[in-house]
Amino acid sequence: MAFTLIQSGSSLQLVDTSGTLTTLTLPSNVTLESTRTPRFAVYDKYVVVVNSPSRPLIVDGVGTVRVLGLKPPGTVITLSGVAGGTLSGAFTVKQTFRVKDSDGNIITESDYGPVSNTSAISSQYLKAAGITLSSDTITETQLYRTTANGTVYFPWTTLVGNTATSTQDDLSDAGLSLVAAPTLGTVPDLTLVVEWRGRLWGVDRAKIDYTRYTEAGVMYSWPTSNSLVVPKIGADTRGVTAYIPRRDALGIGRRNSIHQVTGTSNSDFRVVKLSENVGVESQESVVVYRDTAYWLWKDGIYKWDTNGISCISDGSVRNWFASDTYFNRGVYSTSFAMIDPIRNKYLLFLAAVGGSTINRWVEYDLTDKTWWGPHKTDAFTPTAAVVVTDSNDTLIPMIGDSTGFLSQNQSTRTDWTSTGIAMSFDSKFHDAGTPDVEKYFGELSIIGKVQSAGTCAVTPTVGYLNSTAKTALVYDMTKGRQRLGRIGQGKLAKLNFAHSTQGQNVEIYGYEVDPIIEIGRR
Amino acid sequence: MAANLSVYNLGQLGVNVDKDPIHLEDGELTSAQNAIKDPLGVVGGITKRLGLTKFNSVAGAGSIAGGIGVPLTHPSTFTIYLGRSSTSGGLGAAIGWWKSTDAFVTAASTITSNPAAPRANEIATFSAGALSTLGGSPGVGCIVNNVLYYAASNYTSAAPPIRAFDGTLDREICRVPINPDVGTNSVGVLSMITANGSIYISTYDGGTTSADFKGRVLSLNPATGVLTPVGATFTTGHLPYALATSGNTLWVGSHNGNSSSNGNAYFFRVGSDTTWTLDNTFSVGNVCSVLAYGGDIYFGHMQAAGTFATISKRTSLGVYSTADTASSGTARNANAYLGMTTFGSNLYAAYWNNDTTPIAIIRKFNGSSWSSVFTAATSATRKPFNAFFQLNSVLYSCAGGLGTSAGLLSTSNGTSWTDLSGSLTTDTSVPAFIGFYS
Repeated sequence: MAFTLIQSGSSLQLVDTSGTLTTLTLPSNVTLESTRTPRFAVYDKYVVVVNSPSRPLIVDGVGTVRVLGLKPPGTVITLSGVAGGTLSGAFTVKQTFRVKDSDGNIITESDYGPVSNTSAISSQYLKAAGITLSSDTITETQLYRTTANGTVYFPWTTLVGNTATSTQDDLSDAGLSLVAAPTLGTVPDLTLVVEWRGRLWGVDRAKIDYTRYTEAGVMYSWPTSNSLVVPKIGADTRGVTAYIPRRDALGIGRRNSIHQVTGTSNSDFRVVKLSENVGVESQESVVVYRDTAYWLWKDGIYKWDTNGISCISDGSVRNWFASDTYFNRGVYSTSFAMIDPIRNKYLLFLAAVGGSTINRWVEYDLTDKTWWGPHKTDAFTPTAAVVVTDSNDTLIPMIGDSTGFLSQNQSTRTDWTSTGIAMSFDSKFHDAGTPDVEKYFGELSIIGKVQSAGTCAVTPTVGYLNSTAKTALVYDMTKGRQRLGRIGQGKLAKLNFAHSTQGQNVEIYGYEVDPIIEIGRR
Repeated sequence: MAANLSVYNLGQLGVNVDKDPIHLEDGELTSAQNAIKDPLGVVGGITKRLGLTKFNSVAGAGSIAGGIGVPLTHPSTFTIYLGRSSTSGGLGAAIGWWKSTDAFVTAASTITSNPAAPRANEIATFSAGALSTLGGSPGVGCIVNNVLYYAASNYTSAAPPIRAFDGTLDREICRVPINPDVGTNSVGVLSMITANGSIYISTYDGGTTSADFKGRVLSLNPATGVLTPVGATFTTGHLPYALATSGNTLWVGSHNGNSSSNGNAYFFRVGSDTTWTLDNTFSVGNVCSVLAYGGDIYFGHMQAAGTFATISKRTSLGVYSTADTASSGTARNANAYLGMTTFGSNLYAAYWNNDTTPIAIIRKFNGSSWSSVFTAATSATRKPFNAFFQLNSVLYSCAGGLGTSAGLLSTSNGTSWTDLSGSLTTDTSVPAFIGFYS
């Protein structure tokens, strides 16, 4: 069964397909910062969690939480010769720590500790003393040794557990592993993480203008050399703001630019600039769906697909994002989004103007490219968007809130158990093609789905753009079709439909005003 | 001039706040709070957005800061199989398995096929009489990627089969080849262990006494079913009874089928060595169990009447010493440390002494001191616990052999032990087990 991992307060919790929560035990001396947004990536059979933990974490399917990277050994091993063996030559040794799973696979391995002294021995055992013990929970210590008088390290011996401080062996050079010691590196304190092309990519909190990446196929190996500048260094205080992982392209966003990683290996990875004056405000606003990326920037929602980067909100709802009328633009960095794969929508959660709490969301219909909203709920305060896999392996969009609940769609038009949904939509100002002509707007009739109960308030505004709304008419939804009477006289007329009774749906197919008669002298 | 207005495309154009009021098209909206086009995609109408209902009935630990739906398996159901054999004779003839889906809280069901019965008394020439507590250490099955690989029973006059059971399908993947140093089919598999993606199988290939026992170790690639000899046949008379791994090093503790003589310690560095290195010739008895713990290697011994069994420790510097010595009751023939495991950060060892009132003790070593964490106080648990297995953060120990009914214990903390023996029928156990998750 698939599962969902959430950060709830300062805990990591596992949510099964029935909604049952299990609080996971964090490794010793690791804490979660509840005010930081966790960032996740799925790698192999683990979930990587960064930004909010005091150390990057990995979580397996059972719910075991481990640190992604172990602290490397900190002391120098002392090498010496001990009588009795058959080994000869000059050697040096390096140490790492490891965690393995029950099948013997390496889950994580630390970076190398400092190189030992060089020990020249002749027909002796090579003894390693002063082996560092780990402060992390580990499975074993691995020692790597050079061949006689060599410089390349090979796996030498493994010490199971975390108590042995010395060992000796006379393993010949020929007996060493054929594969040299792997490239390793310490896991940075990551603020962002993403999986792309078999590697983890991340941003070090201490080096915000760079993208780091692991060795291929190894989630714990972060050599310092695996680093690319995302220009310009020092250009702002946020550095890299988001990753945009498409199938064949890894986008990297800053506040004011979009870049792309090209190449396939350490030798040819490059960062190229895709666009200036378009950036990414929030990693959580980025959603990649069917190889098309959507995200929020300062003036709208952008899309990146095979045709390039384009704004999808201009021409219809640019004012939502580029003005101070609707949303608090100062907290775009806290916005978050998700794809509703059932309804084929991009949902973006924002703070209404005048506040910093996320309390509104808008949706973009990927099918017909229309915008809807801004929506709100009076039941809870949204804090996160999560797409959950249910017991049928179906993707279910859910909204996390400030009280620790995930909420999913239900056909009953009620939020939670008793909160009505305040629906309100406004038509355009109808002018019958003659906006400067005074008209008589006749009888309004509403056509809708027959409901079992309920009425919908229909409020006309007739006159000009600055006219006040008239008394609301009452549309009886049990009738389906209803004539509501004449709506008035003026150059323009618009309608507002409003309904908030819990448990009742509204479905309007359309409306008519008949007749519309031009009046007055021209 | 009269006209009329008909608007039937409310759900088609959505919101537009960029056009000025008189340039909007009919059907375009200037706001649509909680109003959407029909959620099923029907073109035309406009409706109230769907309601929202809580997915989790119990609140999380605080505000949800973020989450991810993970397309990975989260084990929700655990099914445990434990090998079962007849109480007739020492190890008894293989019967099948016990199966439990509730961690043996209630009576386990019995399985006689699918999976096939595990190897049991096929090795009775070695583990006879008082030594019939020796079912294999750590056992005759192991788990790789949620699949049980085990030595099966019922192969008279044929090579011992190795089978794989994935929880649904049971299949034979290979048979133990004839040891050219013996020339006839192997008697049976003694023990199996997994490490670094491979399975290591120790075999009892031939002989009937400590004068002519022959055995060896093979590695099994579970993906291909290919068996490859690991080193050569062990010293004649010594069977590779107990297996352990430490990193890439494979350790064997040998047993020659006699409670009054001594076993050896061997190691083999996988990928480096071509022959087994005889690391130590013990003078404290044969070896019934081996375990790597804390960088050291521990060997559990068997002793004859009058001498209490011990556990030997081999440090990473190759120095051997006595780590623990049993002391309960009167030392009887074949008193032994039959099984060892690590659980949490501790080592656990099961000691058996078939005294007048049989003694079964589980000892714990926390890295600095030894203590007894379980002492059998009822007839149900005064059994030779000879194996451990772990599943879902619970440690189990099973008892079998000597023609007695099986015993089963569990603990989640290593301190408090629960007797689950009552959930088993009155057969004896074979140290073969698996916990499947689904």
